[in-house]
Amino acid sequence: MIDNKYLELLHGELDGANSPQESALLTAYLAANPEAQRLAEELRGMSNLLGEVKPVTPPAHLQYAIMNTIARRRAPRTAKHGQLAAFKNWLIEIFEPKSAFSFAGGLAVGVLLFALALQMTKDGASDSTKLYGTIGAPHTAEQQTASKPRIISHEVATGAMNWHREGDVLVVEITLAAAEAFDLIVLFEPSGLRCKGISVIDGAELPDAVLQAGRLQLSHVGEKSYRITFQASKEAAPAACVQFQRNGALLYDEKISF
Amino acid sequence: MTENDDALLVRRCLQEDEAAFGVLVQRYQKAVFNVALRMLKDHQEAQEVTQAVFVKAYEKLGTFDERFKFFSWIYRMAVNAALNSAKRSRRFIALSAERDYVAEDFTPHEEYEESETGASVQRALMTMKPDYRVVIILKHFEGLSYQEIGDVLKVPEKTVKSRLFSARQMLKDILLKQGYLSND
Repeated sequence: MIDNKYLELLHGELDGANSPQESALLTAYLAANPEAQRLAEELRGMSNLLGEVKPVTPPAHLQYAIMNTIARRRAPRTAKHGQLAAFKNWLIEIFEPKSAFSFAGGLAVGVLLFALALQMTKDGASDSTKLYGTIGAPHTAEQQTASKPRIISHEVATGAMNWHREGDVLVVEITLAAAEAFDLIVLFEPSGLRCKGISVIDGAELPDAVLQAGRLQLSHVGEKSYRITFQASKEAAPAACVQFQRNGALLYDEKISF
Repeated sequence: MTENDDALLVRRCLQEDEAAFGVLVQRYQKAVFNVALRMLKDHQEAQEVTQAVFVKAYEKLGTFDERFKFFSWIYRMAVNAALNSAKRSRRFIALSAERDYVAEDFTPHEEYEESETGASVQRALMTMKPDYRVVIILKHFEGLSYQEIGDVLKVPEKTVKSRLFSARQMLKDILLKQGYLSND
C-alpha cells in the first residue's frame, strides 16, 4: 500500500512539479518500497510511451475552410451596409451637373453591352454541351483543388456553397438560411461520385436524409451548414446539381462541375 | 509574449480586423485539432469540430474576458465541442439506401499517418471515460500545467490532480493488459 503523500510525489516527479527536497524524499521512499518503485517505473514507461505520440498536422485546407465560413457569415451584414452606402454616394454623384454627361454616356454603353451579352447567351444556349451557372475550380491539379464560394441569393434560401477535393475525396459544403422548410436535393451521377455521408458542420441536429442512387434529399429549415462527402471516380469528370424543391416544384437549380 | 499578443489580436478582431483572427487560427488550429482528434479518434470529425470551434470563437469574441488566457478559452471550447460531438455520435446518417452507399467503410481521412505506438495509445484512450481521457490529452499531449488544465475544465487544481492520477493509473493498467507496456 502506497501512502497518498508519496503517490502525489510520484506523479509530481513525472510532471516535473516536485521541489529538490520532495524529489529527495521520494527517492528515499522508493529505495525502501519495492511496490512504489515498480509503480514509478510503470508510470514512467507509460509517460514515455505517450511522449512518443506525435501531434498530427491538420489538413492544409482547414484554415481556409474556417476563414471562408467566417467570411460567408460576415458577408451578408457587410455587403448590405456597403451596398447601401455605395448606392447613396452614387445617387448623389450622378445628380451633380458635371457628372450628368458622363452618366448618360455610361448608360448608353451599358445598354449596348447588355444587348450584346443577351444575344451571346441566346446563341450559346443552343449548345447543349456547355454548362451554365457552374462553380469553376481555380485549377484542376489532382491532389488538392478548391472552389471559390458561390453565393446563393434566392427567395427560398440564402447562403453559400463551395467544395474542395483531396485526391478522390470530394467535400461539398452548403450553408443555407431559410425561414420556411423546403427540400434540399443533391443530384449526382453515381458512376462519377459515390456519396459517403452528410453531416452538419456547426453541430446542429441533422435532419433525416434519404439517399437513393444519385440523389440525396433532406428537408431544410433555419440556418445550417452541411458537409457532403463524396468519393470521386478518377476516370469520370464528376458533376452534381443542387436543387431546392417545395411540394415537388423546382425552385432553384445549380450545377457544379468539379 | 504570446499571451499579451493573443489579447492584442483579439482586440484587433473586435475592430473588424479579420486577418488578426487568421493569426489566431494559424496559432491554435493544430492544438484544437489534436485535442479533438485524440478525444474522438476520427480525422474528419476532428476537422469539423476544429472548424466549428473557431467559427464559434469568432462569433463569441465579444464575450471573451481578457483577464483569462485566450488559449484556455479556445481549449475549453475544443473540449466541449469534442464531448458534444462524441455524445451525438451521428457523424454520418444511416442513409436509407443500398448498403453500397452507407458510409461505414469510408475512412480516407482516418488514414492519417499514425505510428503503431500512437494507434495503440489512441485505442487505449478510447476505452476511458471522456473526463479521464481529456486530462491525459491536456497534460501529456498538450503539455498544460495543472493550473492551466483547471482553467480549461473549470475545476480546481486539486480535482485536476486527482483526476489525472486516476486516469494515469487506468491508462497504465489498460496498456499493461494490452501488452503495449511492460511491467518487467
